[in-house]
Amino acid sequence: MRTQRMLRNISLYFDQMVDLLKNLTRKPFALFFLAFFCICTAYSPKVFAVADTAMSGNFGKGIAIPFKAEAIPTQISNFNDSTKTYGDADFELGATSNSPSPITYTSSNPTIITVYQSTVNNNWYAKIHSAGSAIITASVAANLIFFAADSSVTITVNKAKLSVSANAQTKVYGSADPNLTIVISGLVNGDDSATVIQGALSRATGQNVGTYTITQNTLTADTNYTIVYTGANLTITKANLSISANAQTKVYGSADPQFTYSVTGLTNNDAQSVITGSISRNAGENVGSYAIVQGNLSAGGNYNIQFTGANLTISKANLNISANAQSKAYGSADPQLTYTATGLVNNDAQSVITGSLTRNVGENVGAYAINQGSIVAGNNYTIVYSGANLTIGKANLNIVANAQTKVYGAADPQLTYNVSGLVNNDALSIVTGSLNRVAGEDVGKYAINLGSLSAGGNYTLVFTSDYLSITQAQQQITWDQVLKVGCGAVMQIKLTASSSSGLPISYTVSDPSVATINGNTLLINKIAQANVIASQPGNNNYMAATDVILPIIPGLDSFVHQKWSDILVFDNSQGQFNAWQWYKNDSPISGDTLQYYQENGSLNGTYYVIATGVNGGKLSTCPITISPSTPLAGSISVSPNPVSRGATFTISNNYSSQALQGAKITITDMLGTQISVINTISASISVQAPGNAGIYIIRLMLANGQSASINLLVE
Amino acid sequence: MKNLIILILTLSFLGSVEAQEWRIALSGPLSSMGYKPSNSNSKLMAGGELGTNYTFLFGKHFGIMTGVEAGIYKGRTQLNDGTMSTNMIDDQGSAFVYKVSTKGYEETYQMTALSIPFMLRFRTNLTIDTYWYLDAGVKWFMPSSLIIHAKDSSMNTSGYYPNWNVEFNNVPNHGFSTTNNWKGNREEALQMGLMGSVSSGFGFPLGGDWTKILYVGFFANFGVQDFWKTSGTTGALVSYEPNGAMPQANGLHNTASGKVPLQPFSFGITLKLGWDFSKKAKQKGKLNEAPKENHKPISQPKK
Repeated sequence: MRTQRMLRNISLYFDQMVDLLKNLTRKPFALFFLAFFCICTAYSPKVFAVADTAMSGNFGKGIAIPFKAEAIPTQISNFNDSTKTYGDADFELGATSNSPSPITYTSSNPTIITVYQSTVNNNWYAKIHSAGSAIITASVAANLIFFAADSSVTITVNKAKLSVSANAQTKVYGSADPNLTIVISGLVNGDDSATVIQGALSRATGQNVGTYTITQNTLTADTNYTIVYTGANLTITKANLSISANAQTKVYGSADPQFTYSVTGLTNNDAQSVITGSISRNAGENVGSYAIVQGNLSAGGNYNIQFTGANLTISKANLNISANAQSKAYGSADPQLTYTATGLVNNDAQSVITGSLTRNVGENVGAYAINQGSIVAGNNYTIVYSGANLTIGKANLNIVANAQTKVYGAADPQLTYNVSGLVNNDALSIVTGSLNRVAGEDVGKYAINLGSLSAGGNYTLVFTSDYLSITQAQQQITWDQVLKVGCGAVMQIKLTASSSSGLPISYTVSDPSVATINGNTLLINKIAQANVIASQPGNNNYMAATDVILPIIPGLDSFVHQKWSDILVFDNSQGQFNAWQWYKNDSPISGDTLQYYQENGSLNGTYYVIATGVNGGKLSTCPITISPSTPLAGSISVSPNPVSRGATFTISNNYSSQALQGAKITITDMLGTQISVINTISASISVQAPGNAGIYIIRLMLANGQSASINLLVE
Repeated sequence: MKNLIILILTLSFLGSVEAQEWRIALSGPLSSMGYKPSNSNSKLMAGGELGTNYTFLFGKHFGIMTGVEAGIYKGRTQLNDGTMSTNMIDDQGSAFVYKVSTKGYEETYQMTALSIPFMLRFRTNLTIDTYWYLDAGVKWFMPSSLIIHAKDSSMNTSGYYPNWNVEFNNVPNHGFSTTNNWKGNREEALQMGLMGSVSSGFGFPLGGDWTKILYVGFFANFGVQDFWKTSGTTGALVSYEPNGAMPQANGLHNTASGKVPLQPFSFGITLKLGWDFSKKAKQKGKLNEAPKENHKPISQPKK
């Protein structure tokens, strides 16, 4: 405690001493003295008290040396008017007196200042209670030395400064004002702001976005304070105004729709009319999506537009393509497939349409749908296609009938025709069916009609008719009868000649002594050669037939002769036959169709041959029976053979003298020229050979028609 | 006596000649029979001669030559396709027309012959080392029999009997049938006769003198007469075989159309190697200076 006091004193006086030193720098002695005094005072309360008094009143005027005196007037010093501020700390009433009596104090206005004596150090202090002024009176009671004394000073307590700072405030446009709050500093003495501060702040009027000054308004403090007000602003910020564009669509080429939007966030009773301007979209007219943007849309200064975009979708416009109906004739080239386009917009030219129509495949007559094919109109159009048909009509096909003729009774000739106008690589084979003609078979002209002729569905037949002329027919007499007589003692023969016309045949006999005709029966009068003539004179439809003459052939069995032991040969010396079929035992011999027949081994059986004449008639020879031991009877031989020209040679035969009755021998050359005839025949006769070299035919002919022959070589 | 006189004259002649040359000759290669019936084609075939001869020179340019040669003559005759007809008598005594139809019928001929040439030689020097010669004359031709090889790709024999106007062409057992690739052989006798002959070429000495001489030239031999020994027949090309045997070749010579002369000929190149025995010949380049003092004219041999 002592140390503290000492230090406080030293500090107290140190300032004084500094001032003194500033004045007495040229007075070293005084400085020395002062130092000495202070030290002493410090260690002696009495000294200190004296010194203190002396110094307080005299240091500037000179040094007072403490001395003890009697009944001395008390002087209260260091007790001056002062000014304090509300809230200051209790302060010591440091009046001093030269009297050792204690100084007491009183306050004239305890509501302002009260005084009290510290129980700690017994010093008197003043306590400020409120602003104002109070007279503090220091009183010293008289003692032995000093008189009583009072000294009053006025202590003015100024109001304390109370810093009131308005808090800056913000609000969104349209919202209620926030509370205007303050920040208070400077409250002392534990004052409560609630009791100190009254009234309220206010702000400049206005609701639009902006800054509004917050003023002190009615805000006041109690009497102890003086408000030092620091203003602030209420800032009204923009309110968010949500504007959402409505998605829009339009068709390519149409005008843009009105771009609309929905608004949320209008406040302060604002009408939507506060929104001005309009939204817009990104440029472009082709099909696609274009962003709707805020454009110049504005909601004034109070709103912060929060724009939510959308799209304007441009969809394809319908482009109507209507195929034009087309037609062509079958086989001709397709016409150009054209169309009519409606619906082009946006000043588009028809050239935006590309590609070409197609049609269903096919070339036959009929309707073929014309299809859209490769027609497109870019991305801005949806083609609405209306089809049509390519109609293929029939082509004309010229059918010109060829004039025909036929002979009466003959089958109709094929009714032919010439075709022109085939197209499309059609072959003539497509023409089917056949022409026909007007009915009738008599000689005359008959129109040829189209009949069943058809060229399928692709043609229209253009027919040019002509005529089938039926001309008078030739007729032939068919008569392959073999008038065999004497073979089986046949004496009458049913004549079987027939005409191709079916008209009746009339017969005559060249030698009526040999045979006569009775109707269709040949009556043989004698076995001899003669001809039977078959005739048909014709009629309106037939020309007269060529007469057919058949010989009455006696002994036709002589047509077959034996050559060697294994061969039969048919006598075709007249050249009347050209085909044969050999029979053995009444059965045809397969493959044996030559003029001769060779047996496999010796002849053994009954043989005959059916010969076919050059005129088609057939002849059957009389059957002959041969065995190895019984060769065919009747033969002729010559000797010598060969024979020299003009020499005599012998003709021998093995026929009986009876058979030789009426027989004759002819000698002919190979050209058929008869050289000589011998009418008196015996078994062996001598004959002079012809004068020319060559082969000669020696033929023995019996009266019954049988014959035998051999060839003579004349050298 | 006559032959003796000829021999004496010949020896005298040999003693009078100036030079003698002995040669070996090879000739060929083409030959033909010179036989071409109607409706046929005659073809050459290979042939040749080998011979030796003496040449007797009478002076600088002329001489005679004789010797002996052996040769082979070949030829071929192809008959046009067709039918040949012949009148014949069958085995039953009836005449008929025997028809032989051939396709590809041909006959090849071959004969050998010896010949004795009688040639006149003319020669002259072209250069000191070359002379040109010309031999011309005849050969006494002595042929062997002519061997005939006949063949036919297809042959049909048939018999036409005019009394019935029928032709048998498919009764093999009676000689009328068709035969494929038929072959047949025949040999015909030939007679001797004269052949014309000509040869010309060049002679070159071999070695240091003219004692050995190489001759190179051409030659041609040609018959100047018909060498058939018989005139042939007018029969069929092949035989009529009534028993069905294979027909035998008669040869074209025995058909009517084949009765044409046979005149062989050959031609080609001849090579001769000669040896000259004269003393002059040993003097190179002196051939054109043959001494004349011993020259004597050629005398005709007396007959």
